[in-house]
Amino acid sequence: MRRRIRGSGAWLFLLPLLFLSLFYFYPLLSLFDISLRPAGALDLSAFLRIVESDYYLGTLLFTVYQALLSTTATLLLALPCAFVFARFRFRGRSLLLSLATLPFVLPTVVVALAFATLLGEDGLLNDALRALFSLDYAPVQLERTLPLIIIAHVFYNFAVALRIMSGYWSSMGAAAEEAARCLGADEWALWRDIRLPLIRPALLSAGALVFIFCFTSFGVILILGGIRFATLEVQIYYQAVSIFNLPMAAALSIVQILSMLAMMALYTRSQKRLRLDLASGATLAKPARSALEKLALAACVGFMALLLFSPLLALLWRSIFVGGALDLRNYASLAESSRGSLLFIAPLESIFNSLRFAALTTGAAVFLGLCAAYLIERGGRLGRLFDPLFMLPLATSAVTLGFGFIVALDEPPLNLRASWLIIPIAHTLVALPFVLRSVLPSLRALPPSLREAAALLGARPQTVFRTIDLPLLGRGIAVGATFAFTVSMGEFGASLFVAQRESVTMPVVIYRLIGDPGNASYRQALAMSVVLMLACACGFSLIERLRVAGVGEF
Amino acid sequence: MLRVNAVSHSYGDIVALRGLSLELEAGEILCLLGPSGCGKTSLLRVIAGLEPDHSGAILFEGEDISALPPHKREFGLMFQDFALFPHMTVAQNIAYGLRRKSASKREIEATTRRLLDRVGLGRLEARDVSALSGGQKQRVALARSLAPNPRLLMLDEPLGSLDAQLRDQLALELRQIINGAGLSAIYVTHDRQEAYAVGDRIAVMKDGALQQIASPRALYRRPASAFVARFLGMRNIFPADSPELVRALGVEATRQLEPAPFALIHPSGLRLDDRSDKASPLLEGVLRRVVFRGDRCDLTVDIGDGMALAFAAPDTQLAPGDKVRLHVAPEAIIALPK
Repeated sequence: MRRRIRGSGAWLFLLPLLFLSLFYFYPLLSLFDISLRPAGALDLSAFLRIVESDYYLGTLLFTVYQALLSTTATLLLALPCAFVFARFRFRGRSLLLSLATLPFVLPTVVVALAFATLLGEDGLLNDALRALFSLDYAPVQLERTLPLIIIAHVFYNFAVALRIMSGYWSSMGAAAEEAARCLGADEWALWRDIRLPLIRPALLSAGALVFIFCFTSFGVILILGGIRFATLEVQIYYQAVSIFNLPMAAALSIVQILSMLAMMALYTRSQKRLRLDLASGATLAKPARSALEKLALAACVGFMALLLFSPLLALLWRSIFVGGALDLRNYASLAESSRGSLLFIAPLESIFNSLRFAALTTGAAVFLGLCAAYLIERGGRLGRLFDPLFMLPLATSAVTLGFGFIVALDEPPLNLRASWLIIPIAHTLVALPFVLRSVLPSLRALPPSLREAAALLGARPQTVFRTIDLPLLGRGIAVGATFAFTVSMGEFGASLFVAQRESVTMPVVIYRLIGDPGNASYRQALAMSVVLMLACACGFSLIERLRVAGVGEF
Repeated sequence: MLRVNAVSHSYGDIVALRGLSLELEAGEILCLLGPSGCGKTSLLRVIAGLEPDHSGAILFEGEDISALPPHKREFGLMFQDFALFPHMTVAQNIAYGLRRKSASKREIEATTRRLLDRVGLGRLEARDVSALSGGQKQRVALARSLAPNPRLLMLDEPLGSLDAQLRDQLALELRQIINGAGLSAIYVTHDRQEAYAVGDRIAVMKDGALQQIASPRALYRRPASAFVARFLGMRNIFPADSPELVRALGVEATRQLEPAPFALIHPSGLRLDDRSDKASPLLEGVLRRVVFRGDRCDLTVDIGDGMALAFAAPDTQLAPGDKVRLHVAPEAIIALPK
C-alpha cells in the first residue's frame, strides 16, 4: 500500500529536489549554454571541432581504447579468481573478498601515488632490481606509460568484477552443474555448456560497469599518465583550467555526459537480464582437495594479495623509511608550509579542512538522502519517477560537476565561487546517490503494517517516525553516512576545480605536492597519502561491518 | 541390482548418513520416506556420485562404482528444485543428456518429441524455462532425467512444490511413466500417502539410518518401531508395561507384548461396538472428539486412566461426551521393539 505525502511536513520532501535543481541541473544547463552559445548566439563550432580535428577525435578514441583495454584486462584476471572464489572454501575467504573491495573507497591520488612508489622510476621494484643485479639504470620503465594506467585500473575494478561474477556463479552454479554432471557432462562440457554460458550475463554486466569506471577515470590518468595520455576527463580539465577554452571544455563535458547516459542505460539493461530464474542450490564452495585445486587456489590468493597490497604497502614503506631507517620525519613535516610551494597553507590544515567538509557532507547528504528516500518510496507513482533522477550525479563525472559549478555558481544570485561552502555542496551531490541506495532498501523492507500498528497504539506521525522508522532504518543510515564521509574525504575531480587557496582538501594538496618539484613536497605527499588511506580504510571497515546481508543495493 | 553397502557421510560436523545399507531390485520403485533432515537427499546424492567423500560402497550389478564420477554412472536424478538450465529452452534442457551421449540428431529430436508428448508439454518446446509454471517445470525436469534412458532413476521430492490436489494426480502419473519405461527408481518423499501410492517398497529413514523397509501394506500393518508408527500418523502408542494398558486390554492380550518397550493399538483394528462381534475384547470409554472428514470421521475415545485411542470410523451421529464401547481386534495389539 502506498501513502501519499500529506500534511505540514510535505515541504521537507521538496528540499532534495530543490538541491538537485540548483546544484546539478542549473550547472549542467550552464554547460550546455556555454558549449552551444559561447558568444550569445548559437554556435556549434566547438562540437564540429571535436569531430573534425584529429586531436580531439584522438582524445575520444583514446578514452574508449584505454577503457576497453582496462576492462578486458580486469575481466580476464578476475574470471579465474571468481571461479576459485565460487568453488573453494578456505580460511580468510570472506576477509580477502572484503579487503579486495577496499580500493573502491581509496582516493585516486593515493592509489596513483602508491603505484608510483611501487613501479615508478625510483620505485621500490626498481630499487630492489638495481640492488639485486647491481644495475645503474631502472629496468622497469612504466612511468607515464599506458600499462601503468591499466594496472591501476585493474587494481580499482578487480573487486567489482570479482564480486559480480563469483556471486553469480555461486548462487546458481551448484544446481545446474550437478544436474549436468548427472546427465553425463564431463569437465570440458561443464565449462562449455554450463559455466561459461551462465556467467555470460554477469560478465557483460561487470564489463559494462568496469568500462564506465575506466571511461571516467581522472585522477589515475592525470597523475600516472599526464597530458600525453589525455582522456576526455583530463582534456576537460586541461581545456578549462590550463588554456581557459571554456566552450571547448563545455562541449567535451556534453559529449562525456551523453556517452555516460548511454552506457548507464546499457548497464541497467544488462542488470535486468541478470535476474534469471535461479534455482536455489547448495553452495558450490568446497575445500580444495587435489594438488591442482590447491595450486589454483594458491595462485589466485597470491595474485590478489600482490595486486591489492603491494602498492599500498610500498606507499606505507616509503612514508616511514627515510634513507633506510625508520623515521617519522615525513609526518612531522606536515605542519610546515614549504617555501615557494604552490600551497598557501600547511598540509596539516588541509586535514582539518577535509574533516570539516566531510562532516558537513555527511550531515547534509544523510538529511537530503532521507528526504529523497521518503519522496521516492511514499510519493506514489510520481515519487518513483524521481529515483533515477537522484542517481544522475553518479552518472556524471566529477570533473564535469566541478566544471559546471565554477561556470554556473560564480555570479549573483548564487555566487559561491569564493566561498568554501561550494566544496561540501559538491561533495554532497556526489554522496547523495550512495546514501539513497543505502537507505532505500531498508525503507522498502519496512512493512506498512508496523507504522499502522504504532498509529493504532496511539503514536502521532512524528512519534511513529522517531520510534519505528528511525531505529529500523538505523543500519542503512549508518552505512549511507559512512559512505558519504568516505566519498567526501577522497573526492578529487570536483574539488580540484572548486577548492580555493585556503580551503583545499587532502586529495588536492597531495596532487599539488606531487606536482611540486623538490624532495620535501614529495615526502609530505607520501605522509599525507598514508593518512588519507588510513582514514578511508577506517570508513571502509565500518561500512563492511555494518553491511550485513541485505543492507544497500549496489 | 543396486546395493548400498554401509554408507556413511557427513557435511562437516553434521552426520547425514550412518552406515546405511539397502538393496534395490530391477524394475522396482523404492520410496525413501522420512522427516526433513533424515538423510534422504544425501543418500540420493551419494548414489548419484555427487558426494565422492562418503565411506562404504555403492554397487551396481555387482560392480563397485563408488569411485565412478557422476557423468559416467548413467543414473538420472530429478532435483528437488528441478535445477533446470536457465539459459536453455525446454527442448534444449530435455535433449542435454542425449547430446552428451553423442546420440544422432534424428534420435535426439525423436526422443525429445516423444518425451514432450509423454509429459504433456507438446507445444512448449521452444519456451524459456523461466517462463514455466511449477507444474510445467516439474514435467520438464522429469523428461530431462528420462531422456538419456538412465540405468536408474532417482527423484528427490518431485512433487514437493505442488499443491495437494495436483500432487495426488501426478503421483499416479509418475508411477505410470516410470513403470511404462521399465525403469528402476528411488523416489524420495516426506508424504506417506505419496509413498503408499508410488512405491513398491518403502524405506523409512531417521537420522541417517534405515528404520524399516517393507511393502506399503506390510509397513502400514506392522510398523517396526514407535518412530515409524508415529511417522505413519498412528497415535495409539503406550509403554508396554503400563498397568493402565494391562487393565484396559486384559492380561491375556498384553502378555505377548513382553519384552517390547512399546505397544501400538493399530487404528485399523479399532471399531465402535455394533453388537455383532463377540470375539474381540470390549473397551468402554467416552467420546472426546469427532472430526468430520467427509468420507469418514476421526474419533478420539477416552478409555480412562488418561489413555485415549484415535481411529477412523464411518460417519456417525455420536457427539463428544457420549459413552461408547470399542472392539479391539486381537491382531491390532502390536509390540514395538523400540
